[in-house]
Amino acid sequence: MIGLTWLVPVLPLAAYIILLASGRRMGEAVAAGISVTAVFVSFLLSIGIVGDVAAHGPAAPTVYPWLQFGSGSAGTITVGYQVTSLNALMLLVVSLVSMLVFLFSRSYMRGDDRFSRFYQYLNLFVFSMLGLVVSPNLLQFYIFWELVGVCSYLLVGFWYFKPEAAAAAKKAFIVTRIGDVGLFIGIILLYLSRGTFDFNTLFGAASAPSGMMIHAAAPLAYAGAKFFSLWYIPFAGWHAGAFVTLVALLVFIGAIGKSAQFPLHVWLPDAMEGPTPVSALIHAATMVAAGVYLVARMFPLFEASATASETVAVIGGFTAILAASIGLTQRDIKRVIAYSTVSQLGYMMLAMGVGAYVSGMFHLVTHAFFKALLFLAAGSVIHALDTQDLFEMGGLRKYLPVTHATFLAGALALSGIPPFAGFWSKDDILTAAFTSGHYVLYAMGLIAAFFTAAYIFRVYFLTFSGVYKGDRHPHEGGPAMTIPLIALGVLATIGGFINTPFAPILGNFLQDQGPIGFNPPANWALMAVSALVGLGGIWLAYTLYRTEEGRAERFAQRAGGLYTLSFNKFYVDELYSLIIVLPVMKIAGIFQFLDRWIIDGIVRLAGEIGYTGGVGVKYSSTGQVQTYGLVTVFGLAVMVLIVIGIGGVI
Amino acid sequence: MADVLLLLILIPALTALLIMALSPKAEGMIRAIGLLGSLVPTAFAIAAYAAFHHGATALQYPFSVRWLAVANAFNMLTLHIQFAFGVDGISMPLVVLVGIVSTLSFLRSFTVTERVKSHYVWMLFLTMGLYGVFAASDLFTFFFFLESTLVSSYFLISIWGGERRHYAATKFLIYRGVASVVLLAGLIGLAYSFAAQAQTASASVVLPNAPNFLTLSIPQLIAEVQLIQLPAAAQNVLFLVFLLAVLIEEAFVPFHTWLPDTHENSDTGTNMMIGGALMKIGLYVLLRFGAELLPLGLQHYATLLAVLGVISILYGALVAIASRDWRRLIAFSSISHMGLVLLAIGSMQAIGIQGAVFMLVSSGLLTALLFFTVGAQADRTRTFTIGDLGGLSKSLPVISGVMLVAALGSVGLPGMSGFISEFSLFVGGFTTFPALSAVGTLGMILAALYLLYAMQRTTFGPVQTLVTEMPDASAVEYVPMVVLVFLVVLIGVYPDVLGNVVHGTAQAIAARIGG
Repeated sequence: MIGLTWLVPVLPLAAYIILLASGRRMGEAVAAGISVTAVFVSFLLSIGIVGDVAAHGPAAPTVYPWLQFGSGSAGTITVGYQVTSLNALMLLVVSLVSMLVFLFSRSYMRGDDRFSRFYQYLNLFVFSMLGLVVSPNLLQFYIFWELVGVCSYLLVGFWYFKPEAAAAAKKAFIVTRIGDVGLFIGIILLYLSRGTFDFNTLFGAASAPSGMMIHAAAPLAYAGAKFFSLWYIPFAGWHAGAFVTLVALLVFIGAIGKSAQFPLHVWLPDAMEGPTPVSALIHAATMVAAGVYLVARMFPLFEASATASETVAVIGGFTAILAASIGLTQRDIKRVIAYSTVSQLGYMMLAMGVGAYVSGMFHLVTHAFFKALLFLAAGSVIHALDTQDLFEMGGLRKYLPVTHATFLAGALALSGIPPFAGFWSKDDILTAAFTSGHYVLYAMGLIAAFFTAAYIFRVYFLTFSGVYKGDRHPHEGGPAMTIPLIALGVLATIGGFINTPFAPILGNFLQDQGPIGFNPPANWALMAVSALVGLGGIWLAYTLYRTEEGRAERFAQRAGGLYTLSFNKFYVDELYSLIIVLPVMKIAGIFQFLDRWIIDGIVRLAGEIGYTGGVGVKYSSTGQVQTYGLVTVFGLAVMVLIVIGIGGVI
Repeated sequence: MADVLLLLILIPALTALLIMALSPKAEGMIRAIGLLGSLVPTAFAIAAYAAFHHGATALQYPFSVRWLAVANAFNMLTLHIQFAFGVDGISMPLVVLVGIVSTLSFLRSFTVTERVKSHYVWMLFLTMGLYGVFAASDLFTFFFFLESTLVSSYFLISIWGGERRHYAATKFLIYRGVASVVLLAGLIGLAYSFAAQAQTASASVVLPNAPNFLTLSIPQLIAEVQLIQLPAAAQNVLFLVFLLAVLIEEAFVPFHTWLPDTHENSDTGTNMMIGGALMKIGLYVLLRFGAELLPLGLQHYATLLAVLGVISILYGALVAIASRDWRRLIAFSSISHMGLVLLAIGSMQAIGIQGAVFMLVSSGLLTALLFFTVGAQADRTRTFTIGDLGGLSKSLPVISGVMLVAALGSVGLPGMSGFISEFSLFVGGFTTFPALSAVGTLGMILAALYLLYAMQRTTFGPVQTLVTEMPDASAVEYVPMVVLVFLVVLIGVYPDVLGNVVHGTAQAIAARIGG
């Protein structure tokens, strides 16, 4: 199966090309059929690949030359594919979730003008993510990383006529682009110091992914030390560790942008302006997971720098609690879930930062299941009600039984209630933080977990219990919508058993080739605390929204400023607008003014003076004769110069 | 096949003469003949590219004819004036670029209805001049064709341009005219300095062109430079002269204000020619004469190049953000992109020089595509003002889609030619100037900002324009869009299609400047 790995991304690409070529003529059923089939086959292949890796271990990369710019292997960029246990796992998760989202979209997008175009973009999106996952080198990784970004741009802005969608798409692209530039520089510096883009040779032999290689090689072939010291940072004189830290942090900036971590988290909540299946895809499988995957893939680099790892952990922990506290007060169902994603990604980064590699990847997997589920369930609700405002919902348990049951499973998983999937992975992360001595981060994670349970059950109670406040007749959206919900519901319920402390199947699979990071030991006390905190959050939501009318409002009033801060997302968007966007626009305006009136003004002034001086250059009302004359003058001048030159008078 | 380069120049010129003989009323025939006159050389250029010998270091497809000899031109030396052509890995891709861009511009010129005959004549002369500039292997030949592009583009701007066309055309003429004079001084200085140096050195070194030391032939000069070097002081002075010419010619800050005015006041076909091909001459000069013949000068002023490059990157991008007219935005965007090339040449690395050629080709294709799509929408909406547009995706899905592709390509999206160009440029840049290059990467963010912001207001959002029922792309309009998108994606997906040709020459140049 490993030999067929290239097919996994190529199948959705083929579907993309078919849909692109046939344009609008293709019927909805055909477009959806081709796409779902392509991804389904990719999924089956991924199962085979995971089986192969489990049985025989990872394979060496298969590469082809792509661009030559120097001599030898350092001067040749290659492309190809590679299978390790890490990316086999990613292939499986991405293709599985994508397949279910593809199926769901069949109903959700029914009747849209550009139905086939939608599937076209979805295919490209999934192709890019799968291509990213199988990349054997950093440059190819970056190429697909950018493609993932542009697909999200196209899909978030799919309803291009909505000004909010157009703005959100642009914001997503530009904010992630800021992160991408960090990664871009990081890749170049790594290449210049190590002479390769290949993951294997960057860190040493494939069989022993270890931080040692980077330590040893870091005193660097890289010496830009040729010219004036003003213009280069003399890396050559740097302590190797400082250079490794710099590169690791640059790479991490890329992950911050893609995985929507503070301070670049602002694009993700706005990105929900796209159709809901797109949100499910972005939040669960094809976009934000890429940042965490990057940190996992580059794990030896982060292991080699304590400073970089600590930064990852702190950013993760802070993002987890910040986003969770914003999620508590939002009115839009998708916005709550979007902040939830930001927060959960924070947990994954926290795990990576404290060195718990397996825990972070485990949470990525379970989160993909329950977050895709929550988004699709929300999509089902929006499809039925045509509103996203939580306060116009209620009582849907009666009308949408399947959506209700599956959403509940997803909410329990997210809240970390045993035995649902999220409990195992989140507890793993918290235990890792605690046992590695990061007590403050542990506490932050715990508080965030409390908030998490509270906000998601706030959504649950406002949506599904009580009485329906609208005037439509909501109903389920048909099997194409309910089948993915049920499948994800099952995964969100039992998916955690792939890596319990008693049977760490996933951990063994990922560490097939030797231990990576550290594995937190089972700790009953911490487990109990996690579960209780989750239950506490649910209890809070229950008392506020289910016991007494108006209690939540009074509670919000008593919270006062804190409520306002949370409701307004801590004014981060406003702050950025004030300190970044406005100044850039202002500076651009000033430059434009300078350009028109100062630089070009001097030019025009010189022209006017020349005219009054009798040279015969007046621009605006020149007649044909004059300008023809001017051409001749120039021609003459040139001829004269040539003659002088040839005559050797110079 | 050997004289293919001569054909590239003769066919457009002869076609122009043929059209001159036709009645101005025979517009259909003029258009057909004109298109053919640009299509045939393009086919030859592509064939030459396909048959290009990758490994060879000598100039390929050489052709030369002596024109006149000036006896005792300098120190008893005879000067032979000749027309000579030949291409290497740097000029070959640019010759093909000229072919593709010119043919597509001719298609676009089908929409020109005023003074059709003279329009086609000047377009053909411009095409000839551009081929000549990039195919020349002799200083005189090069300069001759450079001057011819100046005259033909001047008339194209001043007759078929927009409201302020005379102003723009005169400005174009003055700036580029001054650049030509400076360049001429540089070329003459170069030839004479080499002659003097060769005469002195001939006592101890056997030179390939002995005893004909006064030569204008570029391959002879390149052969000489590997045996004797001009004194550093002479190289520095000459390099500065060339640099000044290049800064004006290529519209680098602060000598750039003619370019936005030119683009704002030219018709779309002319803009495609200028933005797609003519605006690559300046940096080609820097590579050809600066990097190849004055290695010490380049080394001496490398930092200056990088600084000027970064200034142009940021300045161009910032003004582009505030531009209200699409054509001005594209002009500033290309100023910003050319700044990257300057930075890369300053890096003196093989990968940077290869990236420079990639960027010239890529930016040529993408600029032509941007001008074409922007012009196509303006045919329908009657405006280039970004703020007056909006929601074009609704009525013009194809044109809007291609415009988005062009914009994303210019932003440097992987899968298209811009990415691999930017990446190579920056690898070169970071090798030599890490801190400056880091500042330069801000341009990548700003490019996304101005292009996507403009796209948001053009194709996205609610419909703004008064005209709502518009026909989407016609069959003739599909051709340039399909061809350019195809090439941009081809280079993006399989860059070796270009890299194979550029690689050897880039290596050779870098080796000489010590990169």
